Amino acid sequence: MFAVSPLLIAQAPFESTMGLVQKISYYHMPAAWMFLVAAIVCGVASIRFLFTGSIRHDRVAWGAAELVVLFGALALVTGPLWARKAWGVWWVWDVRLTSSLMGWMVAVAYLLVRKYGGPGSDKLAAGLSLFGMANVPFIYISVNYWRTIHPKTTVIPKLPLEMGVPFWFCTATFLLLFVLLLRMRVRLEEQRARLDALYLALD
Amino acid sequence: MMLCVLLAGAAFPAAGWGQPSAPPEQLDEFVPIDQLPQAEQIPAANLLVPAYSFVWLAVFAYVVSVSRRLGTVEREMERLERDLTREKP
Repeated sequence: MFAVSPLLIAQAPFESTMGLVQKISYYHMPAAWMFLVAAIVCGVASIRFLFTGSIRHDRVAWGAAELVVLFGALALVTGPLWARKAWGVWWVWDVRLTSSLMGWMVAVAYLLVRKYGGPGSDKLAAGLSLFGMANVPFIYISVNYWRTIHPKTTVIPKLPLEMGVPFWFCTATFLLLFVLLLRMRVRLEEQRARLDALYLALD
Repeated sequence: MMLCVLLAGAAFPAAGWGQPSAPPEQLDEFVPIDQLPQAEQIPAANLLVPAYSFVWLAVFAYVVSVSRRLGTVEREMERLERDLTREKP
């Protein structure tokens, strides 16, 4: 699906004010949505880990945190490339962009804590991810309630059919990509746990 | 960590990050594109192509990273399972 998406995007019409550069949105918006979804998955899995102690939820949270960093980076790089042409500047410190950058940094902090935090870092990182999840609704509604140059959320429901088809196709593609990458990442942690068990069996 | 450094480096396009980010002004006239200063006439493809390329490269790099880590762990598991089998009488 990922390979087919450029063909659909190429057939979509140009936007009247932004022209060709608007086509960055077909990757930028789905990547931003997956960034938010991954932050929610990380937060929910962290809550379940904190309350139940189940290691499986911790693995999902860790994998989701990596995907927050990945998809957040995709959105935070493609956005300024689009903005340079559409707004005339690479970056503005408006609510949407600033809160998204903060959410991305929370996920980076999660990964740093897991890597260098030592014993107890799993619970500490889980607590950190709750702030990332709490940031998500704020990021989403910010463009509707604060004065900002970023397009509002009402742009999506108003997309004409010729733009809507490639957009929703790309969204479905990114969603499937997210699920696949999360499964791969969780499997990595499961195999690491089995490896640790094998080392213990050798002793 | 390496992923963060890579992404930080990729986030600064070759056209220059150091340009001052002046806030956009409200339009009071329309200017034809051929009357804009040369610096403002940025072809859209110079931004579109790097955007799509970054997405593809970043996703590919992450998939390769996870696959390598998984491969290392599974090879180590096979080695340990062989050792455990040999140790059993």
